[in-house]
Amino acid sequence: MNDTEVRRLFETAVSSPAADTTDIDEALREGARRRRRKHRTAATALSTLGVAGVVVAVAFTSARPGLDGSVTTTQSPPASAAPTAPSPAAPTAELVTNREQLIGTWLTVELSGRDVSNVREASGDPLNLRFGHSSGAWHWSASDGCNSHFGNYVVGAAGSFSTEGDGGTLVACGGGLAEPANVGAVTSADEARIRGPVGATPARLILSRKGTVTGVYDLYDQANPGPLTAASALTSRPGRPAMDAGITGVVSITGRCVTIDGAPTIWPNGSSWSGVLDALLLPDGTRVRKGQTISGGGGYLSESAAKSLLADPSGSPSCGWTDRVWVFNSAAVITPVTH
Amino acid sequence: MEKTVGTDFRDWAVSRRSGLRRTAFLLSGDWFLADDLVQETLTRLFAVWQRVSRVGEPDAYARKILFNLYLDHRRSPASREQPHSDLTDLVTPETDEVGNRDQLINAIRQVPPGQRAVLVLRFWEDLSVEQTARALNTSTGNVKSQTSRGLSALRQALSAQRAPNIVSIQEEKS
Repeated sequence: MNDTEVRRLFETAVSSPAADTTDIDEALREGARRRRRKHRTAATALSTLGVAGVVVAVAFTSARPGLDGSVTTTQSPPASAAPTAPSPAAPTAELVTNREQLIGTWLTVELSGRDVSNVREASGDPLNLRFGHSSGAWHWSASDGCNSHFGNYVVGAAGSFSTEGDGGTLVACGGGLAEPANVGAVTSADEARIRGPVGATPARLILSRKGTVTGVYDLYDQANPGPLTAASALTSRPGRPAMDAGITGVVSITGRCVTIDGAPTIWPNGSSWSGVLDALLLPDGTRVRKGQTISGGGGYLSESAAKSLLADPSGSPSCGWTDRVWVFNSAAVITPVTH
Repeated sequence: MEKTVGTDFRDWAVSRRSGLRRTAFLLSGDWFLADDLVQETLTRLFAVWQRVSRVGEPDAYARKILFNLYLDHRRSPASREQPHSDLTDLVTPETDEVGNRDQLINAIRQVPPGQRAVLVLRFWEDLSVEQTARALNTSTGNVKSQTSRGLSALRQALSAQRAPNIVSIQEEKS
């Protein structure tokens, strides 16, 4: 019995279907309900993690120095790093069978099914995972949002993936770790797949363990980061200022500064420029790109008054000071008017 | 946002529902059970639609859900299937075509569930041995052996049903 005959047999078997009783609307309602329930469960778990705020350090698994020569102890992958939900294994993605295929910086898009593309590390950059090769070693590094973790990685010819000699820094982190799963996703993975061109954007990396996706990443093109990478944003001290006017204008890059309509601008405390995303990241996670029109509370001040509000007056770049400096309120809700 | 997600999912579901029902029927041999399997597949898929559609593999993920649901259902003690060697409980065929189709369905139902799943993936969904292995979380060697056994079981069932006029029974080429 050959393929064609079996298929013909199957076609005959299904040639007279009964009336369709499936209901797509019901699937939408019930699926949405289950998703909301799942999100509530995840939010509760994260809240519990934040309250605990405890980092358990264990002895370094092997007596080797850290790749950057720093003190090395290992943090065991937290329970929250384990996959919590089944994800598609992306069968069309090519299995990684060579360590070179992974080299580069990968921006973390998902961790165990959660969208983390807006989560930032303490540096202001988005979560990422880096693979590199130097001094004869193939190494990886990732941040949990506070501490850096690193080690070597191995890719088998048959497609197996593993890390070894994992270590990390162990500094005090107020408020707990932001995303420990960003580390667990790589240390727990046993397979890596890449969809798209290897070593070039828009490649996507999919790490999985026993067929369940632990992390999804997009390749960051370091060779072509865009013209805005060198920009930075002036920010105000916490709690200052509070003005009654509003600011509306187009975000632009003037010199090395993120400005409104080319005029020097002081952004709310906690704002930062991300060279990786090529965007200004506001404290609430909103991304603002060059050319967008935005609106928010604040006003304008003279140069001297504005400088007195700077969070870091000595470290601020020259932004072509003028007599009119736009200053956003510390608690300003800045919303994009155009996209 | 929710509206857009719902619209995308609905468009996908409308275009794929018929195919999912046929696949589910080949697995279960029962249109009512097939609809139940598809309904649950659509529900589970929509719960993770944003992530799945972003990864770009909704068809593969839906297939995986469907087959897992079917195999889970088959493992359930309460759902033991009792294949019959005759068709006394079925509607009496009015034509040769209907009779042949019922005989075929009965023959397919006599193939063990695991082997049936492999046959449907390989010959109905046109998946390769490797893709079938990934879809069922098993090895390629197991897929090959299950394919061989499934074809043999199907051949025997068809012979027992005396339905050689539907397909020509030939010795499987090595």
